[in-house]
Amino acid sequence: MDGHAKNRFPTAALAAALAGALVAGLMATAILAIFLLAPTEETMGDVQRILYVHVAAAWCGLASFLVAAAGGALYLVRRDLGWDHWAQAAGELSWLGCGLTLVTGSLWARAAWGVWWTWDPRLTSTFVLWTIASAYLFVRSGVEDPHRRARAGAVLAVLGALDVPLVVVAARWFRGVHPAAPEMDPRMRLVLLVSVVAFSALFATLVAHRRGLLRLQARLDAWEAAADQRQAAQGGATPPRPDPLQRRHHHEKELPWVRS
Amino acid sequence: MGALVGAYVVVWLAVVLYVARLGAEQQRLARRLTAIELAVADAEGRQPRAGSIDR
Repeated sequence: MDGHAKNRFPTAALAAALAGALVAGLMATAILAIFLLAPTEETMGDVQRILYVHVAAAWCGLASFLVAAAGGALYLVRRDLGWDHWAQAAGELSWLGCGLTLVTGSLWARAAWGVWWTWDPRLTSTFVLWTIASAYLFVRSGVEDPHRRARAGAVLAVLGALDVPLVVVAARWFRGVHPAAPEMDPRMRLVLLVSVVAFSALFATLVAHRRGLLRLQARLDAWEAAADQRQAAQGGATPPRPDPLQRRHHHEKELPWVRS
Repeated sequence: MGALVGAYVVVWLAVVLYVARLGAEQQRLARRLTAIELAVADAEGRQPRAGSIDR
Protein backbone atom coordinates (compact mmCIF):
# COMPACT_ATOMS: atom_id res chain seq x y z
CA MET A 1 0.00 0.00 0.00
CA ASP A 2 1.29 3.51 -0.71
CA GLY A 3 2.04 6.07 1.99
CA HIS A 4 -1.09 8.09 1.29
CA ALA A 5 -3.36 5.17 1.94
CA LYS A 6 -1.38 4.22 5.04
CA ASN A 7 -2.00 7.67 6.53
CA ARG A 8 -5.66 7.40 5.70
CA PHE A 9 -6.25 4.24 7.68
CA PRO A 10 -3.93 4.43 10.70
CA THR A 11 -6.21 2.49 13.04
CA ALA A 12 -7.02 -0.22 10.52
CA ALA A 13 -3.35 -0.49 9.51
CA LEU A 14 -2.29 -0.81 13.16
CA ALA A 15 -4.90 -3.49 13.83
CA ALA A 16 -3.85 -5.36 10.69
CA ALA A 17 -0.19 -5.14 11.71
CA LEU A 18 -0.93 -6.46 15.20
CA ALA A 19 -3.07 -9.30 13.82
CA GLY A 20 -0.36 -10.12 11.30
CA ALA A 21 2.31 -10.21 14.02
CA LEU A 22 0.14 -12.44 16.20
CA VAL A 23 -0.56 -14.84 13.35
CA ALA A 24 3.11 -14.91 12.33
CA GLY A 25 4.08 -15.73 15.93
CA LEU A 26 1.51 -18.49 16.17
CA MET A 27 2.51 -20.00 12.84
CA ALA A 28 6.21 -19.90 13.75
CA THR A 29 5.38 -21.61 17.05
CA ALA A 30 3.37 -24.26 15.22
CA ILE A 31 6.15 -24.96 12.72
CA LEU A 32 8.74 -25.26 15.48
CA ALA A 33 6.44 -27.54 17.48
CA ILE A 34 5.74 -29.74 14.46
CA PHE A 35 9.41 -30.33 13.69
CA LEU A 36 11.00 -30.09 17.14
CA LEU A 37 8.40 -31.07 19.75
CA ALA A 38 6.29 -33.72 18.01
CA PRO A 39 7.84 -37.18 18.23
CA THR A 40 8.56 -39.11 15.05
CA GLU A 41 5.88 -41.70 14.37
CA GLU A 42 7.24 -45.26 14.45
CA THR A 43 5.60 -46.72 11.34
CA MET A 44 5.47 -43.81 8.91
CA GLY A 45 8.41 -41.76 10.12
CA ASP A 46 8.66 -38.04 9.30
CA VAL A 47 5.93 -38.18 6.64
CA GLN A 48 3.41 -38.42 9.46
CA ARG A 49 4.12 -34.73 10.18
CA ILE A 50 1.89 -33.91 7.21
CA LEU A 51 -0.97 -34.67 9.60
CA TYR A 52 -0.44 -31.41 11.50
CA VAL A 53 -1.12 -29.21 8.46
CA HIS A 54 -3.62 -31.61 6.88
CA VAL A 55 -5.97 -31.66 9.86
CA ALA A 56 -5.57 -27.93 10.48
CA ALA A 57 -6.34 -27.10 6.83
CA ALA A 58 -9.35 -29.43 6.90
CA TRP A 59 -10.70 -27.82 10.06
CA CYS A 60 -10.28 -24.34 8.54
CA GLY A 61 -11.90 -25.41 5.27
CA LEU A 62 -14.95 -26.85 7.03
CA ALA A 63 -15.29 -23.98 9.49
CA SER A 64 -14.93 -21.40 6.72
CA PHE A 65 -17.67 -23.07 4.73
CA LEU A 66 -19.98 -22.97 7.74
CA VAL A 67 -19.19 -19.26 8.12
CA ALA A 68 -19.99 -18.75 4.44
CA ALA A 69 -23.30 -20.57 4.87
CA ALA A 70 -24.12 -18.59 8.02
CA GLY A 71 -23.30 -15.32 6.25
CA GLY A 72 -25.46 -16.39 3.32
CA ALA A 73 -28.37 -17.35 5.59
CA LEU A 74 -28.15 -14.04 7.43
CA TYR A 75 -28.14 -12.23 4.10
CA LEU A 76 -31.30 -14.10 3.02
CA VAL A 77 -33.01 -13.10 6.26
CA ARG A 78 -31.88 -9.48 6.49
CA ARG A 79 -30.98 -8.59 2.87
CA ASP A 80 -27.89 -6.82 4.14
CA LEU A 81 -24.91 -7.06 1.78
CA GLY A 82 -22.59 -6.78 4.77
CA TRP A 83 -23.36 -10.42 5.58
CA ASP A 84 -22.68 -11.35 1.99
CA HIS A 85 -19.19 -9.88 2.29
CA TRP A 86 -18.49 -12.20 5.20
CA ALA A 87 -19.92 -15.09 3.19
CA GLN A 88 -17.79 -14.42 0.13
CA ALA A 89 -14.60 -13.95 2.15
CA ALA A 90 -15.21 -17.19 4.05
CA GLY A 91 -16.18 -18.99 0.84
CA GLU A 92 -12.82 -18.14 -0.74
CA LEU A 93 -10.94 -19.37 2.31
CA SER A 94 -13.05 -22.52 2.42
CA TRP A 95 -12.05 -23.28 -1.16
CA LEU A 96 -8.42 -22.76 -0.17
CA GLY A 97 -8.69 -24.88 2.99
CA CYS A 98 -10.49 -27.77 1.27
CA GLY A 99 -8.03 -27.65 -1.64
CA LEU A 100 -5.05 -27.82 0.71
CA THR A 101 -6.73 -30.68 2.58
CA LEU A 102 -7.04 -32.66 -0.65
CA VAL A 103 -3.46 -31.96 -1.76
CA THR A 104 -1.83 -32.75 1.59
CA GLY A 105 -4.10 -35.76 2.01
CA SER A 106 -3.08 -37.04 -1.39
CA LEU A 107 0.60 -36.74 -0.49
CA TRP A 108 -0.14 -38.59 2.75
CA ALA A 109 -2.12 -41.29 0.91
CA ARG A 110 0.74 -41.92 -1.49
CA ALA A 111 3.14 -42.45 1.40
CA ALA A 112 0.75 -44.39 3.66
CA TRP A 113 -1.46 -46.36 1.27
CA GLY A 114 0.60 -46.35 -1.93
CA VAL A 115 -2.03 -44.48 -3.96
CA TRP A 116 -2.57 -40.79 -4.68
CA TRP A 117 -6.34 -41.07 -4.41
CA THR A 118 -9.03 -43.54 -3.44
CA TRP A 119 -12.81 -43.09 -3.30
CA ASP A 120 -12.93 -43.35 0.46
CA PRO A 121 -16.11 -41.78 1.99
CA ARG A 122 -14.24 -38.99 3.75
CA LEU A 123 -12.04 -38.21 0.76
CA THR A 124 -15.04 -38.23 -1.53
CA SER A 125 -17.19 -36.02 0.70
CA THR A 126 -14.28 -33.58 1.09
CA PHE A 127 -13.82 -33.51 -2.68
CA VAL A 128 -17.55 -32.82 -3.06
CA LEU A 129 -17.27 -29.92 -0.61
CA TRP A 130 -14.32 -28.47 -2.53
CA THR A 131 -16.34 -28.79 -5.73
CA ILE A 132 -19.27 -26.96 -4.10
CA ALA A 133 -16.89 -24.22 -2.92
CA SER A 134 -15.54 -23.95 -6.48
CA ALA A 135 -19.09 -23.70 -7.85
CA TYR A 136 -19.88 -21.08 -5.21
CA LEU A 137 -17.03 -18.86 -6.38
CA PHE A 138 -17.75 -19.56 -10.05
CA VAL A 139 -21.45 -18.67 -9.75
CA ARG A 140 -20.64 -15.48 -7.85
CA SER A 141 -18.13 -14.38 -10.45
CA GLY A 142 -20.76 -14.60 -13.19
CA VAL A 143 -23.44 -12.36 -11.63
CA GLU A 144 -23.03 -8.58 -11.81
CA ASP A 145 -25.93 -7.37 -9.62
CA PRO A 146 -24.79 -7.50 -5.95
CA HIS A 147 -28.12 -8.69 -4.53
CA ARG A 148 -28.66 -11.36 -7.17
CA ARG A 149 -25.07 -12.48 -6.63
CA ALA A 150 -25.57 -12.61 -2.87
CA ARG A 151 -28.84 -14.53 -3.21
CA ALA A 152 -27.41 -17.14 -5.57
CA GLY A 153 -24.31 -17.55 -3.43
CA ALA A 154 -26.34 -17.82 -0.22
CA VAL A 155 -28.58 -20.57 -1.57
CA LEU A 156 -25.58 -22.52 -2.81
CA ALA A 157 -23.67 -22.08 0.45
CA VAL A 158 -26.61 -23.10 2.65
CA LEU A 159 -27.29 -26.21 0.57
CA GLY A 160 -23.59 -27.01 0.32
CA ALA A 161 -23.19 -26.77 4.09
CA LEU A 162 -25.21 -29.98 4.36
CA ASP A 163 -22.06 -31.75 3.19
CA VAL A 164 -20.00 -30.49 6.15
CA PRO A 165 -21.45 -32.87 8.79
CA LEU A 166 -21.14 -35.66 6.23
CA VAL A 167 -17.39 -34.98 5.96
CA VAL A 168 -17.09 -35.09 9.75
CA VAL A 169 -18.93 -38.38 10.27
CA ALA A 170 -17.90 -40.09 7.02
CA ALA A 171 -14.90 -41.86 8.53
CA ARG A 172 -16.95 -43.14 11.49
CA TRP A 173 -20.21 -44.10 9.85
CA PHE A 174 -18.91 -45.63 6.63
CA ARG A 175 -16.21 -48.18 6.09
CA GLY A 176 -13.12 -46.67 4.51
CA VAL A 177 -9.37 -46.38 4.76
CA HIS A 178 -9.26 -42.90 6.27
CA PRO A 179 -8.54 -43.04 10.04
CA ALA A 180 -11.41 -41.70 12.17
CA ALA A 181 -9.81 -40.75 15.50
CA PRO A 182 -6.47 -42.54 15.85
CA GLU A 183 -4.71 -42.94 19.17
CA MET A 184 -1.99 -40.32 19.52
CA ASP A 185 0.93 -39.56 21.77
CA PRO A 186 0.03 -36.66 24.14
CA ARG A 187 2.79 -34.54 22.57
CA MET A 188 1.40 -35.21 19.12
CA ARG A 189 -2.04 -34.18 20.36
CA LEU A 190 -0.62 -30.96 21.81
CA VAL A 191 1.24 -30.10 18.61
CA LEU A 192 -1.90 -30.79 16.58
CA LEU A 193 -3.84 -28.44 18.83
CA VAL A 194 -1.21 -25.71 18.44
CA SER A 195 -1.28 -26.14 14.67
CA VAL A 196 -5.08 -25.98 14.52
CA VAL A 197 -5.10 -22.81 16.65
CA ALA A 198 -2.41 -21.19 14.47
CA PHE A 199 -4.19 -22.03 11.22
CA SER A 200 -7.51 -20.88 12.67
CA ALA A 201 -5.95 -17.52 13.53
CA LEU A 202 -4.45 -17.27 10.05
CA PHE A 203 -7.73 -18.05 8.31
CA ALA A 204 -9.75 -15.77 10.60
CA THR A 205 -7.36 -12.89 9.89
CA LEU A 206 -7.52 -13.51 6.15
CA VAL A 207 -11.32 -13.70 6.20
CA ALA A 208 -11.56 -10.45 8.16
CA HIS A 209 -9.11 -8.69 5.84
CA ARG A 210 -10.85 -9.94 2.70
CA ARG A 211 -14.21 -8.89 4.10
CA GLY A 212 -12.81 -5.37 4.70
CA LEU A 213 -11.68 -5.15 1.09
CA LEU A 214 -15.07 -6.33 -0.18
CA ARG A 215 -16.83 -3.72 1.93
CA LEU A 216 -14.54 -0.98 0.64
CA GLN A 217 -15.11 -2.11 -2.93
CA ALA A 218 -18.89 -2.02 -2.41
CA ARG A 219 -18.65 1.53 -1.08
CA LEU A 220 -16.60 2.67 -4.04
CA ASP A 221 -19.14 1.09 -6.41
CA ALA A 222 -21.97 2.86 -4.57
CA TRP A 223 -20.23 6.25 -4.75
CA GLU A 224 -19.64 5.87 -8.45
CA ALA A 225 -23.24 4.81 -9.06
CA ALA A 226 -24.42 7.88 -7.10
CA ALA A 227 -22.15 10.08 -9.21
CA ASP A 228 -23.68 8.56 -12.34
CA GLN A 229 -27.19 9.35 -11.10
CA ARG A 230 -26.20 12.92 -10.17
CA GLN A 231 -24.79 13.43 -13.62
CA ALA A 232 -27.96 12.09 -15.24
CA ALA A 233 -30.18 14.29 -13.02
CA GLN A 234 -28.23 17.38 -14.07
CA GLY A 235 -29.13 16.66 -17.67
CA GLY A 236 -25.71 15.58 -18.76
CA ALA A 237 -25.23 12.43 -20.70
CA THR A 238 -24.35 9.55 -18.39
CA PRO A 239 -20.97 8.30 -19.40
CA PRO A 240 -20.87 4.68 -20.43
CA ARG A 241 -20.39 2.31 -17.51
CA PRO A 242 -17.06 0.60 -17.76
CA ASP A 243 -16.87 -2.98 -18.85
CA PRO A 244 -16.78 -5.02 -15.62
CA LEU A 245 -13.86 -7.00 -16.96
CA GLN A 246 -11.92 -3.78 -17.57
CA ARG A 247 -13.15 -2.05 -14.44
CA ARG A 248 -9.95 -2.09 -12.50
CA HIS A 249 -7.99 -0.42 -15.25
CA HIS A 250 -10.70 2.12 -16.00
CA HIS A 251 -10.89 3.52 -12.50
CA GLU A 252 -7.20 3.92 -12.12
CA LYS A 253 -7.09 6.47 -14.93
CA GLU A 254 -9.82 9.05 -14.41
CA LEU A 255 -13.42 9.52 -13.45
CA PRO A 256 -14.98 11.93 -15.98
CA TRP A 257 -18.51 11.68 -14.61
CA VAL A 258 -17.35 12.76 -11.17
CA ARG A 259 -14.99 15.41 -12.49
CA SER A 260 -17.74 17.23 -14.44
CA MET B 1 10.60 -37.06 3.14
CA GLY B 2 9.74 -35.72 -0.30
CA ALA B 3 6.03 -35.93 0.50
CA LEU B 4 6.55 -34.02 3.74
CA VAL B 5 8.51 -31.23 2.03
CA GLY B 6 5.99 -31.16 -0.82
CA ALA B 7 3.04 -30.81 1.54
CA TYR B 8 4.59 -27.91 3.43
CA VAL B 9 5.72 -26.16 0.24
CA VAL B 10 2.22 -26.44 -1.25
CA VAL B 11 0.55 -25.12 1.90
CA TRP B 12 2.86 -22.16 2.31
CA LEU B 13 2.90 -21.34 -1.38
CA ALA B 14 -0.91 -21.26 -1.41
CA VAL B 15 -1.03 -19.04 1.66
CA VAL B 16 1.60 -16.66 0.31
CA LEU B 17 -0.16 -16.44 -3.07
CA TYR B 18 -3.50 -15.69 -1.41
CA VAL B 19 -1.93 -13.01 0.80
CA ALA B 20 -0.23 -11.52 -2.27
CA ARG B 21 -3.59 -11.45 -4.05
CA LEU B 22 -5.14 -9.63 -1.09
CA GLY B 23 -2.26 -7.15 -1.12
CA ALA B 24 -2.72 -6.46 -4.83
CA GLU B 25 -6.46 -6.00 -4.33
CA GLN B 26 -5.81 -3.62 -1.45
CA GLN B 27 -3.44 -1.53 -3.56
CA ARG B 28 -5.97 -1.41 -6.40
CA LEU B 29 -8.74 -0.22 -4.09
CA ALA B 30 -6.48 2.36 -2.47
CA ARG B 31 -5.64 3.79 -5.91
CA ARG B 32 -9.31 3.81 -6.86
CA LEU B 33 -10.20 5.56 -3.60
CA THR B 34 -7.52 8.18 -4.17
CA ALA B 35 -8.77 8.78 -7.73
CA ILE B 36 -12.33 9.33 -6.49
CA GLU B 37 -11.22 11.63 -3.70
CA LEU B 38 -9.12 13.72 -6.06
CA ALA B 39 -11.90 13.84 -8.65
CA VAL B 40 -14.47 14.95 -6.06
CA ALA B 41 -12.12 17.58 -4.66
CA ASP B 42 -11.36 18.81 -8.17
CA ALA B 43 -15.09 19.07 -8.99
CA GLU B 44 -15.72 21.03 -5.79
CA GLY B 45 -12.68 23.23 -6.31
CA ARG B 46 -10.92 22.37 -3.07
CA GLN B 47 -7.93 20.46 -1.84
CA PRO B 48 -8.66 16.89 -0.77
CA ARG B 49 -8.73 16.49 3.01
CA ALA B 50 -6.48 13.90 4.51
CA GLY B 51 -8.56 11.07 5.88
CA SER B 52 -11.79 12.46 4.44
CA ILE B 53 -12.88 9.05 3.24
CA ASP B 54 -12.67 6.37 5.82
CA ARG B 55 -13.13 2.66 5.61
